[in-house]
Amino acid sequence: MTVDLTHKLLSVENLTVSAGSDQLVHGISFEIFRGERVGLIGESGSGKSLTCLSIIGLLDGGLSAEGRIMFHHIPQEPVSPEAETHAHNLLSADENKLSGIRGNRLSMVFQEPMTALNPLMKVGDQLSEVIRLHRPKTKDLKAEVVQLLSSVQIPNPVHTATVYPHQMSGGQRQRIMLAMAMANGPDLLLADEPTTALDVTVQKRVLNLMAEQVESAGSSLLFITHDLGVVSEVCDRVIIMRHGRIVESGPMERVFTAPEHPYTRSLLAASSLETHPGTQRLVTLESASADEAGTQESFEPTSAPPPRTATERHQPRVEHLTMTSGGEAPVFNRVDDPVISVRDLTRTYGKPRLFGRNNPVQALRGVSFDVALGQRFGIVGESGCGKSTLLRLLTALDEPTTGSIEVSGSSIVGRPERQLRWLRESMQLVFQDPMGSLDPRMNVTEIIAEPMHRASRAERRFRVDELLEQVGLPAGSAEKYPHEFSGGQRQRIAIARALVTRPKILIADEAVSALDVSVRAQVLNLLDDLVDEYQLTLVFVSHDLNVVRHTCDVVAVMNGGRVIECGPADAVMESPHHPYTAELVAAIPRLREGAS
Amino acid sequence: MLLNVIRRLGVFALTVFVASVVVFFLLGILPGDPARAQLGLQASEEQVQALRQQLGVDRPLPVRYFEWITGFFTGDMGVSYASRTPVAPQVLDALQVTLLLVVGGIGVAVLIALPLGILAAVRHHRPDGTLFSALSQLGISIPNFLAGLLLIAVFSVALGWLPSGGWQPPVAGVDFLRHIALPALALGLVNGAILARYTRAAVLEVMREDFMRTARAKGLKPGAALVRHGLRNALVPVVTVTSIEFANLIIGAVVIETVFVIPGLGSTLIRAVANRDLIMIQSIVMCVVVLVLLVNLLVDLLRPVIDPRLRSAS
Amino acid sequence: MRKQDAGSVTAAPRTTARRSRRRGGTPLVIAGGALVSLVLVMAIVSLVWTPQDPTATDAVNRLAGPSPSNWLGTDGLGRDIASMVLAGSRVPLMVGLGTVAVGFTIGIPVGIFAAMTDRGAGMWVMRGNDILQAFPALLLAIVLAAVFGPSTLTAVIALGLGLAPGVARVVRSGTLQVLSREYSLAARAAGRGPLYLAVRHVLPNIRGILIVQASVGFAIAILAEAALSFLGLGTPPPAASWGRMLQDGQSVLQIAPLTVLWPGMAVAIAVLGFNLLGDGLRDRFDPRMEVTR
Repeated sequence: MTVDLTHKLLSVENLTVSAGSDQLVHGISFEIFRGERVGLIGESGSGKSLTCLSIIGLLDGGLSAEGRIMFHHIPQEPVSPEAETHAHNLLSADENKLSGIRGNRLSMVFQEPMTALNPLMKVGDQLSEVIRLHRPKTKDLKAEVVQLLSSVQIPNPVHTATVYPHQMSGGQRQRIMLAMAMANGPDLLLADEPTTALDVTVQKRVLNLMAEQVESAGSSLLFITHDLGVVSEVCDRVIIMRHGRIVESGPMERVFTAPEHPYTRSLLAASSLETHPGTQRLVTLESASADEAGTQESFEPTSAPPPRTATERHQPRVEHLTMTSGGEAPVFNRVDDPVISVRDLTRTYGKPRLFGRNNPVQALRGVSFDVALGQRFGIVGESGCGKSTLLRLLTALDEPTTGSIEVSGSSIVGRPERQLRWLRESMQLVFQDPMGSLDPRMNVTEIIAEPMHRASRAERRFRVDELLEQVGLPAGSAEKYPHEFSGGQRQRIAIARALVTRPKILIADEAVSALDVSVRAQVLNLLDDLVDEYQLTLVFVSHDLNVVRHTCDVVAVMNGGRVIECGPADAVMESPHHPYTAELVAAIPRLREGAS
Repeated sequence: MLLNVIRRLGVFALTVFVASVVVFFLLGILPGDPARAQLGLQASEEQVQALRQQLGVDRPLPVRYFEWITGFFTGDMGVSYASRTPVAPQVLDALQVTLLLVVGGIGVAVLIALPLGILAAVRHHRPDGTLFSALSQLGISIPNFLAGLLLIAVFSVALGWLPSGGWQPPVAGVDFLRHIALPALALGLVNGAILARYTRAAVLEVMREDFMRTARAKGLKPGAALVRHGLRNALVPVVTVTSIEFANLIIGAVVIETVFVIPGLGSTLIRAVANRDLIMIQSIVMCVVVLVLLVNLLVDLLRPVIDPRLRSAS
Repeated sequence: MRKQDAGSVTAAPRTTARRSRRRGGTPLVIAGGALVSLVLVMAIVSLVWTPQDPTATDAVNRLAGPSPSNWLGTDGLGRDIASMVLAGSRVPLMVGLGTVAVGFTIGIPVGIFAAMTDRGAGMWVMRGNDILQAFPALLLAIVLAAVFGPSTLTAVIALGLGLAPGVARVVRSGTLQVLSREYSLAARAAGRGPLYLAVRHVLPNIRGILIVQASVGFAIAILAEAALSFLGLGTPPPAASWGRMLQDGQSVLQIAPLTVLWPGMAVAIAVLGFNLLGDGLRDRFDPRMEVTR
């Protein structure tokens, strides 16, 4: 696809979005040319989604947009001679005009495929609606719908047209959304984090499909995302936004290889988990921590000086094993004196219902592995692979159907709660969602001290103050409530709670997945320090292979309720044995690859 | 799908069984000995024993329960303690009247609720939308019998258009309509107000859904998006509430029948309570409970028809 | 990283929405609170003073219009309507309080228990709960009045029992939500038992739902008490009662329609007050309407 730099398609001029007196987007301007694929990048709160919704005119009621958004006519199909130079201002156009443009010349794919389709309407009808709306004279609607469905690689399109959205997977639904958006060959496709809710392997396929569709239709694309890797797969040019302003824009290759703005530089470093050469610590965006602490902004990428003592931990002596094709699962990561020892673990969820059948779901189908003392053990897998179930079993929050789990040599299966006190003290958890993992009605002291059962008030206070300092929160935090903190700070509180009893094992469940990339690096560094300081054995669960590779020595890959491959983190990533692992590794959007 | 229906029917049967045990306990056991109660303290032990035999309350409880429940479903509800006449014909006649009244009430309620609720939701930030909301709020706060009294004061006493009470069967044609108009209106007004509020809330919630934004992004205007994508989705919770409202409507009919002197289940129940006619009360209460459960069952079966997500649940 | 925006996107609007809802709920709360306070003041005043003796009949001065001695006129027995309306405010408030107390005492523990044992005993508890919901509160009250004789206590127990299943259902869904949050998992992983969870995490977090339920319960109880008294199955004489005033008024509706207007307005004001309060508080605490009636 050649970008036609002589013809502007969309020009955003001095766009301001405000909620009441709060200005959220501060007078930004940019242009999109015909056939151009532009990535709009920013972390949460950057105003990228608001910009997108302003263009299509679907901002929420309380928000108002000012400035001009000019949508230019396509020169090939001039309605009249003067239309050549004619353009609509989308912000001042009336509803009639806009509804003629939406879904026709300008269309959009949203982030959440699970809720973006009408649950009560057949997929085919939802597709034919958009065709009928803008091309009422279309003869063979049914054929066109089937054609559209097969163009987005939906298997068995004739049948799929008669199916309801809830009968499809997230990836399929997002393809339907794409088909709907492309149905009338739009001039501009807006895509707001279209693959953020999808698993990596699915994301890869949807991205490829989107690039292909946009290319063959000759459309322009405005791709909104927080993920620099994803952008590098689909875009020609990128615009970096921060706090409602554009900080940098330019051809993707140039921006990614020679970023001009310090924020862009640190964002790139944080996204690729770049480590400081001397200390092996992640490069962080100091400004992000400055935001959290409320001090002056500065864009210099920095890293904390203390060098890591145990640098040799990245060469663990662990066998690299794979599940045999017959489904025979070996004991992975077998060690002599394991802290955690899991054997033949299965968990089947039935749905007991009155007068109903049991619809058993096999969440775990025979998992065996060890974790050695002081090891950093990573578990990777996509949604539904069984990793959450495994965690609940490891922490004795749920009982396995069969199999055994031993922690420090003692079984934790089938024990009543009062016999598990030692486990509760020696094993703690950090969760994914920094909003949901802290009770909004408790203050920080109460939250952090919750695992301290029989401690006096003074003991609690002393320990909480000590921990607040260790996790880098201001001393005044003790009496505050969770809503007064940012996401990264909340995760620090959660980490403090997990360490309050000085546990031996820390289990982190997607602990950095909900954080912005710049904050992610800080939290990972903190975790790193604390694991050393407390001499913890870490079990780190994530869907993100890069993060696991950085954090862990050993990684186990899960799929379909089984561990399918396990070995030293670098080895598994660099030379995966199992085809699924290979697919997973290949699907990771790579930052530099697309640029070079 | 079929399996789902069978399962629901099974649950329904079990529910009716448990409910009947509760009713039997409440009215068959809790009040004590009906024979002693009827004959008074002066009666001799032999007299009481004789009446016990006659009423059949001298036999073991399971037998009495079994006899009552089989009788109930085969149309033999026993003999009234008060009038010594069979209960079943009276209850069945009254049931017909009450059903007509309730259907009329539901009709009025739905006719009021749907347009008012949708309008209030669509125009919720405009003055008229707020006015509709305020009206429905007021409607909920008025007891239905007060609404009945006010309707009588206006349409019978002041204007003299409609009768202030009494009942005519449907075969009476216009006269039937004249008699059912005010009670049905009194029932429907208040329940319509409640329903209108749920409709408003349901429509408001649907308007915030992602798929409504998708509909707009397709190029549908706001009104068309609401009609083609919003309303059916809003209907799902509204239908559920309607079934709950139905129970309220039946119990509301009990009071309304007293206001308008209508020979339905309600006025029969109140008379039976005044006479402490426990066997009559027992039959009527069971009737009401079965009716409520039946409507719940119907709605349970209806919901998958509206919402395909519930179909594959089985 | 995949879940990043799922977290931040739901987080941000939630806080702003809550702020605006708080503002939106306030006028309703004020209006409702004012009406409820009015009824409360009426009840308190009537304890020490009423213009006339609300039970004193006057055969000469029957169905009189408003006058300096009888502000709102007299009823069919010559009793002072203003005094009866004032004195009649006590029973509904007491019945409301009693109903909510009974309903909560049963409903909250049952709801929390059902949620905590969701896959086992809780399922059966909720089945039973559903069956009880087929017995409307007013029907239960009529039945109990028939068995034990009409009294305020019978009404309170019956209405409370009628309210409990609804409370249990709402509490259960609120508790399930709290238990599904990661802070509950964290508490369990910290070795905290079910009682601790119920007291420290569940109750504080469903507080809003409970306050809303309480005011809705009040409104329902006042309506039901009025209906019961209207049917002659509620508060027995001589205690003044709005419902019975309406019943008395019906017999003279042809001649003196105002006799039903005053007690009717009193009921409507009390119910409206609690409904508005409940609505405003619901807007503040929980955007979704719970089906409780």
